[in-house]
Amino acid sequence: MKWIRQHKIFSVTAGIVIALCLFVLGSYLAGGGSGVLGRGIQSVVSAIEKPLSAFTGGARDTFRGVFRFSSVLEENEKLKEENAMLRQENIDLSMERDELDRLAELSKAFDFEPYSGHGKAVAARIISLNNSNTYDVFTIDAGSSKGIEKNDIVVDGEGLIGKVKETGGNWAKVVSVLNENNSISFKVQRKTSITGIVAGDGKGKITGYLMDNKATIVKGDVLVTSGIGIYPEGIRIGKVTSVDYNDDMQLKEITVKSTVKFTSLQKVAVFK
Amino acid sequence: MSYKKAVLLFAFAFILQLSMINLINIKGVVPDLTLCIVIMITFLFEDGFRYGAIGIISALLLDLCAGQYVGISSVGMIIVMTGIVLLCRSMNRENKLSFVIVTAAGTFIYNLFCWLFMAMLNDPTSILYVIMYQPFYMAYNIAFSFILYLFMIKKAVRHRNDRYFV
Repeated sequence: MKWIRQHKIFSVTAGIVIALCLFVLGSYLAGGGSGVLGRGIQSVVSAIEKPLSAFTGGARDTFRGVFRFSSVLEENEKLKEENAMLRQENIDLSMERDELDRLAELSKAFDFEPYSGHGKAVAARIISLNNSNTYDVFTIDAGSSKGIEKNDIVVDGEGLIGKVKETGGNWAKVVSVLNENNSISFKVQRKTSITGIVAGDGKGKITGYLMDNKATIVKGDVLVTSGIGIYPEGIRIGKVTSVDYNDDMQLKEITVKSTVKFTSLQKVAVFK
Repeated sequence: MSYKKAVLLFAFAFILQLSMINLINIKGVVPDLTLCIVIMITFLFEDGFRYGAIGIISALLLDLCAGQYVGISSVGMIIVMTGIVLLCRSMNRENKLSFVIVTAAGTFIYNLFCWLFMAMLNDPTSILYVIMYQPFYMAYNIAFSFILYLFMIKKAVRHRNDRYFV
């Protein structure tokens, strides 16, 4: 005790470090959750962050428009062509939908309920990112007040973003597909019998392996969720950028680039 | 500097860090404002350790809101502050070059420590990936810290081991 009194600064610092290490350990054992206090703080911070992030998004879009005007014009032309093609496709699909409605009525008669895809969607905006440059965890401005729960799926128009890890009244923390603790079961869109598991590699990319090491998967193959686990079937994950065979593990390993542009992500949709 | 000003400074950095600082991100690299302020305060002020305690709380809140595990940034800040206090015993605090060196070293040690702690918690990020981005983090942090330094140097009281201390 005398020694502690004589070395007050060192003792206080050591005490604080020990307390913080216990905090870290508790957080790790709780699966990375922030507890009641953290959720309370997050609710207050989210209310403050929301207008600021809206301003940030608007400013970024304005600057992007000013400095990349020619590429924006080019993109506009491409989008016009794509729009015309999609209108035609829409007409064809609406005709097929009528036929699908008739089949759905028929399936009810046989008491068969196929998975209907995605339920109710909630639109949300990203209001804060964590400090790393890998976009693996971020916060959105919608929470339990809008019906969002833990493990709800988060997507955008390009593909799968991740899942909800924690919710508060007006916020939710999302773990993206780039996070190393978020494993996803996939199948190859070209050949759905080829399946495997992918997860983030901690460097902003997604890596994984195939279940069958003799399956033929090539660079450019599009991966979608297989429906095993919490992610529903058919959501785009990304494109294969490399395929290697690991002799030690006897597994075919793949590197995947996500279809989602995380660096410019602002708005997401949360599905139940 | 008063505690009130320090609290306002850290609160401002906290709010900016989570939202608007991403406006100036380059390939995902952004300055760590809380770390910059902690380094600047500990370097400039004789009792900077006291104000640094507010930085530790700010880092804890940042971890609560945006981090994966709570507490790692705070322990990193304590290590950086301790290192700066020990380093400043043999450095001239009036020299801008000293400040640049301290900021670069502080950034590197902080990021290295955070990587080490996360690696112990099974994070797969490799050390080479962390080191690869260090020059950019250092450059960004030095730029921001320097701007703060130029404002705050006028508020700092002369230190006992400075050249012309009277």
